[in-house]
Amino acid sequence: MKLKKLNYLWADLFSKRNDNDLTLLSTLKSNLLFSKLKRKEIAYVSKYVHVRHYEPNELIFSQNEKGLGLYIIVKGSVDVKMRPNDKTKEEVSIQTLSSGGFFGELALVDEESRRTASAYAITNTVLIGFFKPDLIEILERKPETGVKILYQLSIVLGKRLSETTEAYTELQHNVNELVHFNELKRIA
Amino acid sequence: MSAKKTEHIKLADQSTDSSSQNQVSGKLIKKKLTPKEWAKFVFFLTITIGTSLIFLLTPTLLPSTLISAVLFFAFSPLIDWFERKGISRLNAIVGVLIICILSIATTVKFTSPLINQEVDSFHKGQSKYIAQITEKLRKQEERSFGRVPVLKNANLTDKAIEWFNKSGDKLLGIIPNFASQLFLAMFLVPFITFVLLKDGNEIRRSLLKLVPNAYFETTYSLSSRMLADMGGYVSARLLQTLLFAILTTAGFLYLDIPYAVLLGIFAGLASAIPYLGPIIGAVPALLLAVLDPVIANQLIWVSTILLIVNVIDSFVVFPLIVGSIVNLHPVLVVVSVLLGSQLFGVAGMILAVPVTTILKILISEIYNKIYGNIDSLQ
Repeated sequence: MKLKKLNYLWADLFSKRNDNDLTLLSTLKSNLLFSKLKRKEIAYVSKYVHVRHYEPNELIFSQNEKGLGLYIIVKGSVDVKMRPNDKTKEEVSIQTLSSGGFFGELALVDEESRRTASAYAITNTVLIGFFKPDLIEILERKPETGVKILYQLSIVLGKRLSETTEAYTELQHNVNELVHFNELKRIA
Repeated sequence: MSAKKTEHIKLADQSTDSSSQNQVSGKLIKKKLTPKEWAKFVFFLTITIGTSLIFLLTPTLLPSTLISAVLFFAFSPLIDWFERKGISRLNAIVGVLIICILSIATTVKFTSPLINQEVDSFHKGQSKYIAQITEKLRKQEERSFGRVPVLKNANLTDKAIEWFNKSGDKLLGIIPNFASQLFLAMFLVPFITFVLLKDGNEIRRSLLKLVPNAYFETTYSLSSRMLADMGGYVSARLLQTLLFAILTTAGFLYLDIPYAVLLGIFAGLASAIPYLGPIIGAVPALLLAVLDPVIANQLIWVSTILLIVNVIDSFVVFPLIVGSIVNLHPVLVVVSVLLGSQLFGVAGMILAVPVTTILKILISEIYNKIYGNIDSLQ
């Protein structure tokens, strides 16, 4: 149950899955964050992103590490894992993301953001990194493009929050039911 | 619900296998470099350090590179502003550089007669000042014979004059080199500034491609912070220096002090050196007030002007413009300036604060990394 709740923070809710390898521009265009941008704006943003290559099992970032921004999967797949509590050293997989998926977007807006999970490349993986300094630079130079990205980012974060709230409410309901059931059992 | 749970358990089982190669240390997992990443890292360090050394150790390139870097930081906000207004970056850069070159040419054209006049006047008065200094030194030396008889054979005045003459010759020897540097800079500075403004971002990104994945985010974050801090510092310093020069020149012109423009520009330039700059900048004006009989009675007013400008600079301009950007302890600033002067002379004194700021960012990042790990282990 706990895993399910955490899963909503990392769930791949937005990707338009495509089995074919996507190019940089089409990956950006197909991503929810950049979907409202015009072709010219996408070309402009592409100058600010960072293409990174990862080998199988390579760590992309680790839980509790200070985060700088989000990653979009161009090719390959990524395993998102976390340690359920501080006492456990073993990491538990909570989500597998494939091409078109993205993760780590909270770091774009959170000042002192720490990664809430670790991410590993499962196969040979190509990622697009889009970080806080890139977003700030775009906002300074092309505010109208930056605002479109920020608006889409707020939709993503709102969706994550709504899914998490829903899961939390469900969990709370289940806990209440369990408490009620135990009380009834005790009385009986 | 059950299907999702099964999927999570399945993924969890898979993850245990794949994560086994990464050792868990405290809360953070250490990132390991593959041989390919090591090779990239070595290549990155070689390129970065090599390029820096080429620019630092080539005397003909260093001044032009430093001036271009200052101009890059000074113009970047302006170019960004033009870009925000819908003007293409290329057009904005070309426009700003052309306006800048034309402005310098116009300023030189209009101020050169005044500066030339002041330089000529100083040149003519030079022998008069040297004679006055010699006379004053001889009188002082003769007075000290009674108290320290050993000084009779020391010929201190002659030695001092000889040192002045040698220094003057050395200065004259530097002038051709300075002229050739200036000529080179006239071509190099606009070119390097243009490249930095146009392609600086791409150059940085190309270099960052060579950084291993394990260090990428940290390196990128650090370089962004350093560039932002440097940009703010350079722009603030330029504005502060300009205000200092304008205020001093205005004060000296009001008092009708000879060489007011030259003395004002010198005081402004010297004010770029933290703490010691205002003292260095005040020396020529005070010396002139002591030596020149025309303005001998104005020593108190020259001192007052310098004091007022320094008070305005120290209590209004510096805290408002520069102090808010660079948050360094005064002792650290003084030590770094002295160290800079010992190692690289005047350039070292001017560069001391920006370099210390960079070091401070690096050290604070390393400190945070260490304490982050310590915290996580608790």
